[in-house]
Amino acid sequence: MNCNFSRVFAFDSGNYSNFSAGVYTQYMFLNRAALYANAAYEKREYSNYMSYEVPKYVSSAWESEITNIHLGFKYFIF
Amino acid sequence: MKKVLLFCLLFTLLVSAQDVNLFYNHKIPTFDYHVMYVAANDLLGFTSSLYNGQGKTETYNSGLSLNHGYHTQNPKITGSLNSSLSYNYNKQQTPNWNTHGYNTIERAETDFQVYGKYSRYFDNEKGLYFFTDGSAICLNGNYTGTPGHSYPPDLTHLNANILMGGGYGRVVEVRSVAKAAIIADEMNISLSADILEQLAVVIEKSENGYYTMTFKDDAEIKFMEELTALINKQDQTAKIQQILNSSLYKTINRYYGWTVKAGLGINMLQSNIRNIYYVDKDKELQFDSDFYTAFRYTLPISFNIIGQRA
Repeated sequence: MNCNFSRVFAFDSGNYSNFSAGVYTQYMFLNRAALYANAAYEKREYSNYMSYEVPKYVSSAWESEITNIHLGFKYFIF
Repeated sequence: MKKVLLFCLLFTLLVSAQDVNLFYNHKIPTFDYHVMYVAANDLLGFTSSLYNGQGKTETYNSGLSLNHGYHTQNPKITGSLNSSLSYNYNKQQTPNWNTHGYNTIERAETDFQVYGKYSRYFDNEKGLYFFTDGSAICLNGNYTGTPGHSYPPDLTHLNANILMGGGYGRVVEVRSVAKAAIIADEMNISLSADILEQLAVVIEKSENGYYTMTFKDDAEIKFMEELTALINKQDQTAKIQQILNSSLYKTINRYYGWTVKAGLGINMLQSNIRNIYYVDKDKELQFDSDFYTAFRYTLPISFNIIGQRA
């Protein structure tokens, strides 16, 4: 499963209006185990012409999660 | 062979004579702007990363800066002063597997930067002049962290440079004149040398930030209004924008004139930052001064003012 929720509103520091502000948020969740779920075994061929059925690395908890929140502003006094 | 080379040289100088006059007659535009703003790219910044088996890392950022810019320019005086004062706070938490808690490093940094330059011509705008150019950076950083966990010592960095002296002559940037000529050429209109010069002044003011700093969001509108009014092509805004911005019509930088100058530079450094990874505990003040001299002569000799374009 790959879940990605990002960029609700981006702060643009290149904006030259008198006042500009913004929020940047991102949440990403990645579960790698799901990628291997359909094929738990693979066939490997070696230089002695023998082949083996070997189990793929399967983990039920290979997960990563990244959260980003940024809030910024720019205000021209004159 | 020598006759052919001589002919080529004479031909180049004769054909470019009119163009060189346009370059030579280009006046330094008169304008000034003053701007001040408060900004925070990360008034509040938070990043949390959780990788399987590696624990959770959390980073907090917070910062605020006050920025100031001033520029004044006329044929005899060019001056600018830019400064910024900023404060940044950073906190990072990484897992500590021994205590099953977190290692924390906090950094508070104050940064002041100033940069200015000034030059003044006395009798005529291409004669005798005085110039000075200086900058200073002052940075102070304090670290605190979890007891027993290593973190860098406090940072102190002070760097100041000043160069001042005098000279004679002037090298003028004339790319805006070439751009004005490209507009006239592409729009297929015949413009007098005076109108070309006025166009060049508007383009040069734009390139030096006058419209952006003065009119903010309306900068492009004001710039195009002034430009199109000069050539009476208010309905051709899109085409002129294409000529100014498209890579098809870009032209290389051109300079015209000569100058000789000399001065004295003084540099001061007090810093305990050895590199971005290492900070020394001790710091000592260093002074250094140097003598500076330069001579520059430049003359564009392209066959036409808009350059050699394929």
